[in-house]
Amino acid sequence: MTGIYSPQSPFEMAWEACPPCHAMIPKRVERFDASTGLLYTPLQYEYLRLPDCTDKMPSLDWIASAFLAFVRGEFGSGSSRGDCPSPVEWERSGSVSLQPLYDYLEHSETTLVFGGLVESAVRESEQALMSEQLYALIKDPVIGNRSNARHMTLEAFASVVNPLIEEQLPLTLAMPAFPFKDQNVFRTEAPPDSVDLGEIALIIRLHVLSLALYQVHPFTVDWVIMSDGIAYAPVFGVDETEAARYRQRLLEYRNLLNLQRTVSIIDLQDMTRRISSKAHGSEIFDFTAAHIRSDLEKMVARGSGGVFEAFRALNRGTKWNMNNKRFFKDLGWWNLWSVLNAETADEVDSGLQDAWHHVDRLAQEAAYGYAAFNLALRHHSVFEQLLPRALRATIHPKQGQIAVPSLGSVYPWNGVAVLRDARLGPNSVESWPLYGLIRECPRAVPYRLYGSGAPLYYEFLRT
Amino acid sequence: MRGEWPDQIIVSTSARDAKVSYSLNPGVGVRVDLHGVITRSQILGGIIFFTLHDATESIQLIAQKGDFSNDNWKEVRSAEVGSRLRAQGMLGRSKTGEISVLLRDLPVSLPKLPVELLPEWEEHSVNVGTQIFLARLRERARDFYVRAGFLELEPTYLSASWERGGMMPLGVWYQGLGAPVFLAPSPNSQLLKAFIVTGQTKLFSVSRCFTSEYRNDIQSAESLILCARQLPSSLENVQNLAVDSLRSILDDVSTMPRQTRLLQQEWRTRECEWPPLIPWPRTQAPEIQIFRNLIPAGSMLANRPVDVFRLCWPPNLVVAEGYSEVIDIDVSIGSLTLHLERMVPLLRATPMRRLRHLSLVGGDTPDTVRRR
Repeated sequence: MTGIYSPQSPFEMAWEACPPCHAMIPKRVERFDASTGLLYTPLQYEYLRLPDCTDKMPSLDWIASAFLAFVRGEFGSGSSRGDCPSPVEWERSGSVSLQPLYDYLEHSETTLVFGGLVESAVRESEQALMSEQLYALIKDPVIGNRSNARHMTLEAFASVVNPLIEEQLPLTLAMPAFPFKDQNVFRTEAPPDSVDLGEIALIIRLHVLSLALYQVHPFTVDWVIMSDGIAYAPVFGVDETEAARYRQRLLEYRNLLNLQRTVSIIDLQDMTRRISSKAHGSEIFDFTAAHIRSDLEKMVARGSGGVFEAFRALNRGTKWNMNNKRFFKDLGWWNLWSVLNAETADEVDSGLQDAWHHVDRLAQEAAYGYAAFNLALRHHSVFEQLLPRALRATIHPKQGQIAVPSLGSVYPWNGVAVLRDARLGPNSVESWPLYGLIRECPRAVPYRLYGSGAPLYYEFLRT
Repeated sequence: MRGEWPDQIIVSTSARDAKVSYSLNPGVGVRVDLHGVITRSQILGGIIFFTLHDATESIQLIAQKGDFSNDNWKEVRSAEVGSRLRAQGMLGRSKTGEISVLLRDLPVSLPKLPVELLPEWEEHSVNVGTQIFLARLRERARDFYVRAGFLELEPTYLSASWERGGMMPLGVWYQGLGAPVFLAPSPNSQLLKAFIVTGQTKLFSVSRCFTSEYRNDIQSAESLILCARQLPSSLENVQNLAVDSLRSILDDVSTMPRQTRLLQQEWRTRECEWPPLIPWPRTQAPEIQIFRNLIPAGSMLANRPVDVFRLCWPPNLVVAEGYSEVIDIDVSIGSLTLHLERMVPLLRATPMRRLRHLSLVGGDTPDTVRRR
């Protein structure tokens, strides 16, 4: 039962109650409350039995083409990170309460929703159609993300949104994100279960975008974050229990800020267990991922053109995404930087070549695991089956999906939170890789929540 | 505060928009051209601080003697609270960090606000117009029920308890004082208590409905309602009360609905299946839809089935709803809610500048109003 104090969102409660192999369909129902004497129209979820998934495995052609599209969408071309900055011992540190979180929330709502920006963004829409006004907001460079104008046409957006408007249903935007805190020593210095102001700021900005869209769309707007940490923890060498604790901490901060009605968080791994096939039952997803991985390995081993080059690009990325703190003790700061940045073993000193090969092997394992999981999601259309009325959102801007607001040069879990403005307005918090912060400001001040634990943010104020 | 202005400048004619632009674009200049009223004035030697209210919000103006000629400085000093001004200047921050307009040009005194120049005037006139219409609807609704012999009760809004299982009320958090209290969505239960205490058989209350539950696409979290209960009362009695009160409320030139022919028609009644389809089918004329034997949400009636009706105004707006519950053998209480807030969109869209021409006293006909 939902009380005023509810640690779960209505979506999360419905998701928990949803039986396996069932899609969750939102529906408006009419009810009468005798104590108030009023009719009202709450949202209810229906559970629709899904047909069995196919046991037919994807073809080699499909795997190749899907893999190329996947790598193109996730990783750009390799770019130089410059010289290795010197490691730093922070000269000073500070202690902070939860107040900055509340200030950031309040200032973001006031400035971005109730300060007139929504009205001016919507006023520029040529017609008063709700879909046009919503589109104006999602592509607004301040409230939404300007890349949405490039990656989604108004017509495509309206075709998805109009049926929901007609049925008075909420806009639910679902995206995989928030795995765990990156364990690359050059990106963060916090443990995997650490949540900092960067992650909290992004959740707040999702909430604010919901409120902004709600000014136009009266049937509510909410986000579903499909936290992929437990799914990827073994792939990237992170402890699964720490990934689970990371998700729990996100939920705790979400509840502290009273955002249960706009942001829900569920587990992506759990989603993959909710589909089933005749031959393999609920193991079908893992079976498919293993098959895809095997075929991918064969294609890469054959050196087949585009797939091989795409795999190299993916490998470069996973080298940086996987847990390299486990190598740090043996290699040290400078050597680890050399190993991670070298494309081939020849680029490092002879004494580091064994280490390079070791790291490269692990990175390849991670790349296969990561790619196979994602391709299996696509093959079985996991999101589309389980949440058929949700709109697909994304943290990496790509064609046909709605990109979320961007707060810095990296995603919050891939970096540290940097406070640029003590007034805590909506542009005050950015996410930077640690090496970038060290380079720009070796005298930045880490602030810890009540003086202990990993830094909540690093203060580097704009002058 | 002084110094070179930035190369890139944004121009704004609204205090609220200007402040937001200034906050979000560090390094970019914001120039304002505002029309408003002075609400505060403070002279500290060679510096004057004004507060200017425009149609959106207030902003501080700062004038320094060194920026004006002697004659102009005298004029600046003469601006009083209540003066209407046009003020232009760049935004900056005062020593205390407040976003302020740094006056270099002499503000222009205005005898009357040029309403066409005020930003978002249409939106504000709709908001204020809505408040005026609501006050009229409230007055007329109240007048009907008093004349019909109903006793009025002033409702209480804050409650320490909430009936779980039905509509979700809004919560009020007292900072540092534990669990929240609730804003009552309806005075329905207070009227029942008043029946018992007063022995009266007809009671009503004009109140606010506070809830985050979705009802329709125009409803807000706060809306004006009138709740009436009578004893004894069948469902048909409550329906007739709803129809009579609505015809009375809307039958006046000052609150005339856009489609006046609908008031002259018979409003049909029909039995419908529960639950109704969503979205509801559109209607061409006002109609009363009756739903029999439905089990209400919430625990108050202990799962006893009730008969409910709703009065739908075309195309599909519910302006009244009610029910009748049997409390003893041959005794039933009727309950009615009129959604006054929802009636505002039905009314003739009268521009703000015309409102002063409408008579609120009987005797005016639509023709005489139109001839003005």
